[in-house]
Amino acid sequence: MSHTSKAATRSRRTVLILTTTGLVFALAFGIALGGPRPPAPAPAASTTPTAAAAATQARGDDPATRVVIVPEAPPPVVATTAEPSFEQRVEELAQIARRTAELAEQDDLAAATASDQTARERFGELMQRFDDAGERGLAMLAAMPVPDLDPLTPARRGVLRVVLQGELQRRHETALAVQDHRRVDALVSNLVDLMPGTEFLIADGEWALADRPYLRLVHEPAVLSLVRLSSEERFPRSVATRLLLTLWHNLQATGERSSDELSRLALLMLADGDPSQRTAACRQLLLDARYRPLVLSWLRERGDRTIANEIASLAARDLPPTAALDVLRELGPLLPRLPGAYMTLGFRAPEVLADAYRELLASNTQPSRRTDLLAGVAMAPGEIGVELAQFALDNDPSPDVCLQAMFAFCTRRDVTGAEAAINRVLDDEAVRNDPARLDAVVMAFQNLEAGGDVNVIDRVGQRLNNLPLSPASRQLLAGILQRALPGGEFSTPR
Amino acid sequence: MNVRSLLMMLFAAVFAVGAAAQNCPKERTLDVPASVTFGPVQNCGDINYRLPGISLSTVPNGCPMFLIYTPPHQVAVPSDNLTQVVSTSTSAITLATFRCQTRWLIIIPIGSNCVLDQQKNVGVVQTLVTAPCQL
Repeated sequence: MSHTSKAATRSRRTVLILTTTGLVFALAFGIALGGPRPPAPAPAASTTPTAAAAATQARGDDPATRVVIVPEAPPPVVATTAEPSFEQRVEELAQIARRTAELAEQDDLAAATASDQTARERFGELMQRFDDAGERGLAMLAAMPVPDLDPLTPARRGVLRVVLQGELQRRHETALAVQDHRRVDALVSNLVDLMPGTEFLIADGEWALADRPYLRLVHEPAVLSLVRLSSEERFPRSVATRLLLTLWHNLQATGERSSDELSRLALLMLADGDPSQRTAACRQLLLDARYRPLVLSWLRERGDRTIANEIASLAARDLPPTAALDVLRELGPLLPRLPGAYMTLGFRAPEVLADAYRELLASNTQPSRRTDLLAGVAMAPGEIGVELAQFALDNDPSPDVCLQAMFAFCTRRDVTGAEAAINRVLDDEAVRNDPARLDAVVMAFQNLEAGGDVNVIDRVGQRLNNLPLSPASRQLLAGILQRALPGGEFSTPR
Repeated sequence: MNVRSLLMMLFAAVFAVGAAAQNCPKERTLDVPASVTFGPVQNCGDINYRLPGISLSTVPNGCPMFLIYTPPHQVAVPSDNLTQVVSTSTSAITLATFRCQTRWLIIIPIGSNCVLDQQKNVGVVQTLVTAPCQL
């Protein structure tokens, strides 16, 4: 490694450390902001002492007893620095963000750190100065045109997202401390109501609310309203489903609804016509072992593969591994192949899938499912994927399962292992004489192109070139060889 | 053509149909729509990712460690008719892995980008059609 690249690596590492420190600082800062803060700035018209006094009296007193104060003669004009507005502060932060980025990109870390420090201070001032920063930020987000070609817009959005998140966090923490959620509830309600307005608000609203503790029972009608909009295709269904799931999770976590109540609600929603509600209901019921068979039976009877696919993904991601595997197995008659779900589950729990594969191999049943199980185990980091793939190549009688085992080798950096696996499957007549199966081999071979081992590509390419490939695969192979081999030509056949 | 020949032809035809029925897998195709499965998320910025037939952008709340794209395809399911499924083409199941690229040094995380790290073929699915069994 050259000195330059070492220095660059050091710089990047420093940037990472500083960024992490910055985020920790921001978190600590956000928590600190949860405490008492000075009141919000008075309106611009109330800057003179007399006017301020009048405003104070007018705000706090009963109208019947309010004292009208006659304005005094204006004081002599003195040069004062005007208090920056919320919008001006956001603009300043966006400019600082861009400047910091430029400095960081130029590897001027000292200046970038100083600029970052300034940003932190300005952000802190903004949050302290405006106790309605969340509402103000939301208003700015809502007013942003979409699409906005101003190059500073992403920076402004970033600032406003942090402001919104900081506001929600400090209000939530205060609410927990004083057992009064009105302020945080109001901000969340505003946000949910505004979300259908623009793409920015949908994305920023999801970012601020999904998988976070702010949605509560009081927001249920608003969230269900988003669900209804999604059923009319006027709001992204994935976002509506996610918010509904977050809401239910929060209701259960805070005790606003018991698990049984939610399950009963979910049962009712299963019958509803809206896909978001059905998906959320299915997930809620699947989490409860008592209701799992009921949901699976409902899914099978209904035969809706779109929902079944979503449920498979949810199960693979969220359920305990053995329960998730049960769900995927039960969905088998409806969805004979579920590679994505098995791969997601394999990333979490490869051993569970490996055991299931061995059991099915012992009984030599369900080759499609064995294929998916192998694909899932191959997602796991470490050697378990290739070990099971080698076991499959040695023992599995299904050519299609062996093809999947070959993929496990061809997605790794071990090109020698990949070459051996490809040759192994090509030794099987059922593969080398079948253009459809050869398609799979060529697609696996395509992964080796990135590895750049010319000799392996040359050897395997020559073998594949002599087999009865489909026209599409022959074209794909020609492209790979053209890019990977010197002059696009094979070496002299050995 | 005499009666005997006619009977023999009829017998042969009936036998052929019976044999075909015995060898016919009695399957039909079932359409499976394309699907995208996301892996666990890393805290990062937005994502822009394009594949034939799919365009993902601005996935909030993080950068997926990976996504698996399964293209639309067909699977064989039992049928009451004397039909079989025939493969017409093969499509790759694609695994795309992502990483956070943090370029910005500030508490305001506007400089983190979710960038494509690698894209690999991790399996295949078939495009199938239903065809009558050969008599």
